Amino acid sequence: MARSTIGERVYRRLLRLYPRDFSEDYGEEMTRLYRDRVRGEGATSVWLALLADLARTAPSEQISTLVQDVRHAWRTWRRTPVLALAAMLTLALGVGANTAVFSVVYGVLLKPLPYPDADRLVEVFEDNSRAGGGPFFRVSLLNYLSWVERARSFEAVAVFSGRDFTLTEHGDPERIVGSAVTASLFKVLGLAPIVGRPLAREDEDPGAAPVAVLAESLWARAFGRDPAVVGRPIMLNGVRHQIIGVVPAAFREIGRTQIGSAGAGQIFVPLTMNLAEDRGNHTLRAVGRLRERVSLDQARDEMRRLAAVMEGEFPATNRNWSVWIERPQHSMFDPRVRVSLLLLLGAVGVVLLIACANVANLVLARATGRQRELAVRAALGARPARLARQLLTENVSLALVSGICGLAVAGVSMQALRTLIPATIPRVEEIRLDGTVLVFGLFITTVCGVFFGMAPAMRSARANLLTALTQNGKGAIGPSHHRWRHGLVVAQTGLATTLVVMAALLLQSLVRLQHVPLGFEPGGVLTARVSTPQVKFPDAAARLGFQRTLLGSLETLPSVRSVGSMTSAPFAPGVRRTATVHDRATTGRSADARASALQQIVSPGLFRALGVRLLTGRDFSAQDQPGSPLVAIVSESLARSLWPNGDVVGRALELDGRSHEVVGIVGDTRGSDGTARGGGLDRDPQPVLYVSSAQVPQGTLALVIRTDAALPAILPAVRAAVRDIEPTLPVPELRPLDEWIAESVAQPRLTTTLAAVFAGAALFLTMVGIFGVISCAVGQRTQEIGVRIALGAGRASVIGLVLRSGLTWAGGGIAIGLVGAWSMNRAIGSLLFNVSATDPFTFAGTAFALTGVAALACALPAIRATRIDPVNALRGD
Amino acid sequence: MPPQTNPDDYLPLAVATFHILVAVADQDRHGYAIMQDVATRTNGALKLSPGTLYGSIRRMLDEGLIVELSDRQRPDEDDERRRYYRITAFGRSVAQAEAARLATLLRQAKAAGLVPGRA
Repeated sequence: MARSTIGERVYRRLLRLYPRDFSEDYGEEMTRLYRDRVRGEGATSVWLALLADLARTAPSEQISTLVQDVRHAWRTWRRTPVLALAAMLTLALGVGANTAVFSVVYGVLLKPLPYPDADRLVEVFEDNSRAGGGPFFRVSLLNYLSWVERARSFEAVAVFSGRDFTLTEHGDPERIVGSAVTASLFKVLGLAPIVGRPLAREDEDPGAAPVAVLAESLWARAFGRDPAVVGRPIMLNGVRHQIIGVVPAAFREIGRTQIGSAGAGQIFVPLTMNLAEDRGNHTLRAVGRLRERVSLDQARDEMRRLAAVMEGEFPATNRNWSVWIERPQHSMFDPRVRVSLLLLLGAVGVVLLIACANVANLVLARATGRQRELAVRAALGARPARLARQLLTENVSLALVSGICGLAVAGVSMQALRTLIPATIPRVEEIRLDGTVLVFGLFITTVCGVFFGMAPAMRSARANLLTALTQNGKGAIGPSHHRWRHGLVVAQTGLATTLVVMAALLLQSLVRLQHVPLGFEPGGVLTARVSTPQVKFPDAAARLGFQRTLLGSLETLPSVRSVGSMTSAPFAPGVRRTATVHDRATTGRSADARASALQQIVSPGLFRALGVRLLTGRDFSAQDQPGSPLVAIVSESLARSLWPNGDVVGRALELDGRSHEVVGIVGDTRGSDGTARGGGLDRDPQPVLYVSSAQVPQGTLALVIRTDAALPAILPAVRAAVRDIEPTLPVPELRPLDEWIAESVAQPRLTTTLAAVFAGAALFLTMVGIFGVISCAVGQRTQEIGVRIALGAGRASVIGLVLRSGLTWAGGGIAIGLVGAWSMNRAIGSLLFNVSATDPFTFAGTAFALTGVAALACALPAIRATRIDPVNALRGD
Repeated sequence: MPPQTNPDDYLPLAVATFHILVAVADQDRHGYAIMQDVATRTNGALKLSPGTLYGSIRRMLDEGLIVELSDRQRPDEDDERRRYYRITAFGRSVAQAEAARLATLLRQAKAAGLVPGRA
């Protein structure tokens, strides 16, 4: 034969664009045709025609082959409807659960924030790590002003601070949450008002006319989206503000302490700056927009350098303080939320893998049953590649149908997840089945289809014709078949083991978390927040008067055992002010006698109401008056850090430049972290400094009511007590302290619940998988077992035979799974509380349980094996 | 086996299919010969491209309109061992049905005065 020309070789290559069996069938002929035509017509004209032909007919041949395969697939699946349905259901649930969890991960963690150039947004913190306080402190006003003046990395920086407002506009006074923000927040977020104008720099001046910006939600709820609200007055905290604009829903506090959608601010007022404030008061949250082409690291470098310079300039307040910058997507979560979500995504993925293994098993069993059909078709001239492609199409099309059902499952379970997700996780409203999530669902569906469709397809490609035809289909199960199935058992057991270990660790952690000593007794305690607007209560005396009257009248209620007030109740949202405290004797001299502490302004009797133990000294009392010497009570840990040698009561400490006498020590309490929610149950108690509400006036206070009555019974009386004193105050929302605590563990509880559900599903699917494989193996070994029974093997020895084979493989899987769980200890360790991620009891217990499950799965086939009738078995074929 | 039902179910035939049936109606031909025959009969107006030709052949084999000749049935003079195709009885009846359909159509067109020249 003549050597082929370059053109011919190129053409042969191009023929691969056709379906494989087509080009295998006709490639040779078409090349010959090409040769003939080139000889007759010349290369140029032939090539032009050929390329056009290729572009037209290759896709249409591909499609027609696909249509043919899909039709065939549909017909064959209809022949085994139960199997098809079982496979579909398994996959649909698997894909559905995965897509739902992914929608959460995507909506909460991955989706970009809804701002222009959102990747340039950062949150700025003051970093107290060097003094052991951690990197996530609020920002002091004066430091912020210094940054604005000097920092070059930012296009704009804004600070804000949450505020409670009493809106007296429509009927009953209403309490709404909002923020005082700098005008620069508009520039940082890159948002413009829907109507009206943004805040201006001048609005921040102390003498400026009060103005307010409405959030879209309040605008819609209270004003029916009327654009004419701009210019109208609105009464906030008894002060007339002029509405100057309305901002879209995305205009909100972003970053670390954002408390879900419920906590989104509804109204914004300009932050007026009190330049007399102490530089050491960390009260504001800061966000910034980096300049273009300034990286996060560059900004961090600059701010750290700047902070170092300021440490030198303001040693009294800035010593050991640096600056930390984080992207809001990172800072808005407890890092454990990220770990939890990714862990859950991994766990649900593992469940899908196990489900796929089961489906692969089903499909493989079916392929084995069809060995004869396939062999016959091969004998009639179907090429192995063609048959493989057809099997793959069968499985992928089954997977796609399941995937579409799976998306429906995802839609339903996503709704359920959204309601289960605690309010402490931000961006829940971003969770939806959008394009990205759908693409993900279809992607994993296709991967599944290919995964479980590949094995039978590959096997059929090298099916042994002769054995298939001569041995009635059964002989076709060669050793490679067993290897594959046993491999599935090992993989399933391994994955399930890892999941079960994880879930068991999380479960123990949750139990320990819920039993951690709190330092107070939450049972029977109700809390509420009450604000005293400056207009109605212009001075300290008026506020103190209100507070005393309120506490006094509540105390007289029959079901109330004790009442008190504090700045913010543990685990409940509220103001948390961290202050620097000095030992008076060493002020300015020794850094050792200085500590950061949370400042709580409390009434006499608070400790009794909350159930905090007074260790030494006395509680605040009526003798502590506005004019009398300032007094303070310290928590145990604060006492230890200021005066490690004891002898605390009677000492003087300095707070905000004024000396306070320490009159007592109380026990440490959890839930009083410097974060907006007071931290989690797992956070160690922080040092707290208590001062008397008689000596330090406060605008917003948290009521703490210890009562025997249930909430609904006492609520009207509390509301009446408030209204009797001041009818324009909004009615307080009472909530049991237990609920706040439960909310603080809602996230770990959800993680644990889901992990347990996934582990349970994995366990169940693995059991089904082992059962399927062992049943099948017993079926294949009917003759052998029959012979053994005929030769006198007893029940026990037959059961032992089956159990041994099953447990050997499962045991291998369990061992691998334990290693897998061990290797994940770093990731899961961060989620655990008082449980080691390599806890030997958990590992041993899981291994034991999994062995039990595997034995259970083998039991039925084993019992069936003992019932094999040797005569029938030997006559079999 | 390919489904052989009523020939009328296959009408109207695709142009390429009909031409191929015509080409193999009088003698067994290989692909290139079919292409040349079609080109000659249409004075070069229709040149079946390889994709169209073999795509059609594949479908026609599936539908039982033509068969491929076995090695023994091939003409002896062909030393290149090309693949030859032969029309089946069913293929012939489908081609006849298509021809009849076209004849009827042509008659109707003539009656409507759409066909010029000799009647």
